[in-house]
Amino acid sequence: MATGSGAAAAAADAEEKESGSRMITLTSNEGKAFVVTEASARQSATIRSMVDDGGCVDKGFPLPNVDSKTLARVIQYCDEHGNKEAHTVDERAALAKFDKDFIAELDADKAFLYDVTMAANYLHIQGLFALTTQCIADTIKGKTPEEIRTAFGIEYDLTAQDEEEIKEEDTHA
Amino acid sequence: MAPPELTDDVVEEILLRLPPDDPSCSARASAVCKPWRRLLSDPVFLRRHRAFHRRRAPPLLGFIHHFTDEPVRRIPCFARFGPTTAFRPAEQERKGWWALDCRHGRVLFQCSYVELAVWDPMTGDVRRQREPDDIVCAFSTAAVLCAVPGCDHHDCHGGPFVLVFVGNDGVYEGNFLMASASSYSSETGTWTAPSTVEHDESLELESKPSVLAGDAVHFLTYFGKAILRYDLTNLELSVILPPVAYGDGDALLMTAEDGELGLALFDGEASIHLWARVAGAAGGDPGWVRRNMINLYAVLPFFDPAHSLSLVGFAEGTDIIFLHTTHGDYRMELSHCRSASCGRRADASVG
Repeated sequence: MATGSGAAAAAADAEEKESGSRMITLTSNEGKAFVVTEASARQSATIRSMVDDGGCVDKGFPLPNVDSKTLARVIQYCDEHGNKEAHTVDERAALAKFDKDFIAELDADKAFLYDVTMAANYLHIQGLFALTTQCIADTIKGKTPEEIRTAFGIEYDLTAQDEEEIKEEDTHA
Repeated sequence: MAPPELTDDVVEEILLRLPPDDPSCSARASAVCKPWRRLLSDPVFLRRHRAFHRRRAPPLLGFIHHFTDEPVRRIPCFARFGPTTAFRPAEQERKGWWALDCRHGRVLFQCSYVELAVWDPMTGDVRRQREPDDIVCAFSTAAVLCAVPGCDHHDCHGGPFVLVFVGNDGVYEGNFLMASASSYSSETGTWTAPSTVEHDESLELESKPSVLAGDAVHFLTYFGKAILRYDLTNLELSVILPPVAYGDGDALLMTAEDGELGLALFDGEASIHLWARVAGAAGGDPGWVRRNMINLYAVLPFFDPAHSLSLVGFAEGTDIIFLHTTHGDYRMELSHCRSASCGRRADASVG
């Protein structure tokens, strides 16, 4: 019976997903292939929905917006969070320690931090995105507007009227 | 090399994470460029920003300080609200009330010799409660906390609360060698049977706010010689000894980074030592671990070891402690080793 075998196939699929035994290939915009566990790849909501929709798991996923260096770093995060358990206090503490070291290393290279942030946004990796955006927000604290512009590569585009308003706000603050 | 460009949606997510309790940070960010300026004043973004930070710790709105030159327990004085934000309570001063504790948006006062009062600065609501008749004591203090498990305390005004009362008795050669504690639930309207501890050194209570860490409320005794721990689950009082005691220094209870009990010890010279009480390995007894040391010369603008310095309060849920010096009062952020003047005495804080 067609429906019956369909259900059986779905059950087998689910079992395979459960075990996380499948391997998935992610390809950077430079054509370099990275083979990761499905559990690791599922950290990305973008890839997760493609896998669940029965997408081209075998052919792998080309990622035209991510270069090899960035992808390698993103995978390092996904491997840690996807392949490791986080049930006990010790396991959670180990993950928190990983996150702390991971972001401290990225923070030392701002350009790379921005690349990883953009990749985390594109791939919808919630935990990584929260980690990197919070780190960038923390660097805004205590900076002058000029220092923020330099850090973000933003051009000065305020008019004399804006400047006047800002002065006004400062005196009221 | 110019940094790679972040797209507008990513920039929005970054600005969403700017701290809600530091308006100067948002003000500086809104002076960066036109798109940031537009975003930071956009009502939709501002609503998102509020919602995002609601899930986190409630903001520090101000502190309660005693408006008198020489605060001695139970001498009539004014308790006044000192704001640290634009928030102002309906009534800023309470004559003859002594602030004992403050937590979860509620302030606890001693309002007469036998009566406590819980005040909600947001609604102005006051609930009076008689002290437990079963505890006979010369010195006492108390703590207040929200009674709802898992509450984020953003909106528990008027909700059930718990009081913990602790008092000293058992005078021997001028020292109080006994302490008893009892807790009150606003839901049942009754005090629990007292739990009593004895100790071979004085357990005389210090008039500093209590600290809630784990499932216990902690009170400090004079000179930081001991800590009284009231377990909210089994309703038992016990004594914890500090890692060290400095004769000329001062002590303050706080919560450490991971929410465990913390202790700030001023060594009477030029440093504040921060300790945390951490669980022992493999379920062993908890023990003290030294976490950090703050050099007061580096943090306070006019520090002079010849003058007195006291640690007066800790704002629970933050890493801010309040210091009293001959030059005035300071709030100090422990993680940033940064201090700012409060200009006056701060005895308790409102979270």
